[in-house]
Amino acid sequence: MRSLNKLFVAFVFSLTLAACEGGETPDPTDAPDEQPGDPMSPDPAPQPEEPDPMPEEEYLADEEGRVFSYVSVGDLLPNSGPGHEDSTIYRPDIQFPLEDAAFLNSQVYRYGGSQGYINGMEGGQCNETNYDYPWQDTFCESRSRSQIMCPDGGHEGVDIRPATCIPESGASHWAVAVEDGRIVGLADSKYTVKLQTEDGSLYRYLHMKMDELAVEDGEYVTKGQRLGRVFNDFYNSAGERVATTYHLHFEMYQNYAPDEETDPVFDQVNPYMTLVNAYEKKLRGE
Amino acid sequence: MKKNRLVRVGLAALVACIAAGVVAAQERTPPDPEAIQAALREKAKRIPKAGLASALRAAADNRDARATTLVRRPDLEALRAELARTSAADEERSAADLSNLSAVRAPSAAQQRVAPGLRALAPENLRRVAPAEVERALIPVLIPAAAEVRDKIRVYGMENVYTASARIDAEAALSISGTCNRVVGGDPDVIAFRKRLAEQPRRLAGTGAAYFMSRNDFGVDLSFSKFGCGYVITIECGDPGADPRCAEDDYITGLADSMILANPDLAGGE
Repeated sequence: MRSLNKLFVAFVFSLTLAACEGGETPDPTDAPDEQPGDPMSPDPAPQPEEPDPMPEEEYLADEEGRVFSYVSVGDLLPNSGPGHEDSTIYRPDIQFPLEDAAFLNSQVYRYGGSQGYINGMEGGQCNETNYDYPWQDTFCESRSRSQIMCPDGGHEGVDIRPATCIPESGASHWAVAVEDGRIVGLADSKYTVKLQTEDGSLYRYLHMKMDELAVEDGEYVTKGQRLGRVFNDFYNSAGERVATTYHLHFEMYQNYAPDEETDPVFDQVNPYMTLVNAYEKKLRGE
Repeated sequence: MKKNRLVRVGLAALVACIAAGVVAAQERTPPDPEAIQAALREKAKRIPKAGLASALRAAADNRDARATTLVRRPDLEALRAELARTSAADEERSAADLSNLSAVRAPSAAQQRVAPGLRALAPENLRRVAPAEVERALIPVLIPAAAEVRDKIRVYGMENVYTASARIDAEAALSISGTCNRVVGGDPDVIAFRKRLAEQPRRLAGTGAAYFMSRNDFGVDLSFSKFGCGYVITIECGDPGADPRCAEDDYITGLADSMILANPDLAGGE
């Protein structure tokens, strides 16, 4: 009996120690790439020296001189749900949907968002890290939704912050047509501008300043034409206008088929890499 | 002896409580936002301005996973067959319904919901549809037959695509977009995922069309394919969680299951 008691106490102490040391079970995927060498093993083969990193000025930067960077597609902010890894560039020739610099990141799980506290990101939307690189994917971010491409429901577009935080800067930042196309269904929608192209793409722009749009219902627009200003228009369940954060919610529908034999499904696809590609072209001045 | 055991048990319970407290406190501690931001910067990719380095970066990032858009025309045989099938089904209905031509051409919402299928109706019979808009479309322009939608719908037609849109009432708006062009290729993992997805569609009760549904903060989408083309119906609701038109499946599946072909000339006339 005494030995049993000792065992029990030892077990409890080991638990305490583990907890005090932050002893979570290590996730194998979090293991560092390089393990410390085993002193008993023979000397490892000499490794080639790491090449000197390229100087900052060798990387693409925006007009403010900030070097553009982006986190991989499908790699979402911690605690914001599983992403959808889709490296497809669906439309290689679109124009980036904002005229100026822009920052793709979470409106919900970062500063100013309703779930920011989960990552300790409490505070206003104008926090400087919201308006800086790197970009981060938000397609399939956890929301109270069900989207067929998302492993756990999720956000069916990506969120794009404009170049500056509008409540502080008072600046106007324009959303533009990503392709030649036509504005459709505007008369019937409260906060969505839809752009449809002749060859089948459908884009939805949300939360622009809807009472001061630069386009009309049914109008044919050209790539790069101003559509409206990025704003925070949204509505509550009573039909009253309420504010969201200042950002553009951007969706891309494609009539996608995995092969010639399978029926296509016309739905939202992850636009992240298409936008990375478009932004790269923008920064290159193409 | 007994006392000793009690002391040990008490001590063990105390230690267990402390351990549990420490674990709980760790779980409550939010992650460090600065550490998160630093980790993002650490793993973020940058794009070299020019030269081979840029190409290598693009290759490493699978930036050649490009999709292609293929121009496709609708399967008109299938379109005619579906019109004929609906017509035959209508003929089998009661003599009272058949004797009323307007019921076939412009049935009530209730009639439509119990009579799925595809019926042709010339654009001149659709109050807010400009005939020129549907005439320029070379794809089947499908619009929901339900009266509350049909009488309010506008069509925006182009050669290979169209959108039809209606504000149903103050609380809800509907749109349907379609195209026969299809996008193929891209990320191999996504192609495989899409193939698996296509093996398990839900099917509309009446027409048997494969469909998929997505819900979001604004409402609900239903995507279905017909005649080799893809269509998506979107309903935006003021209160998507409470409005049954967005919260429940029946309304939108009912709309998708009972359609009007607004450009009957495409199938050889009304």
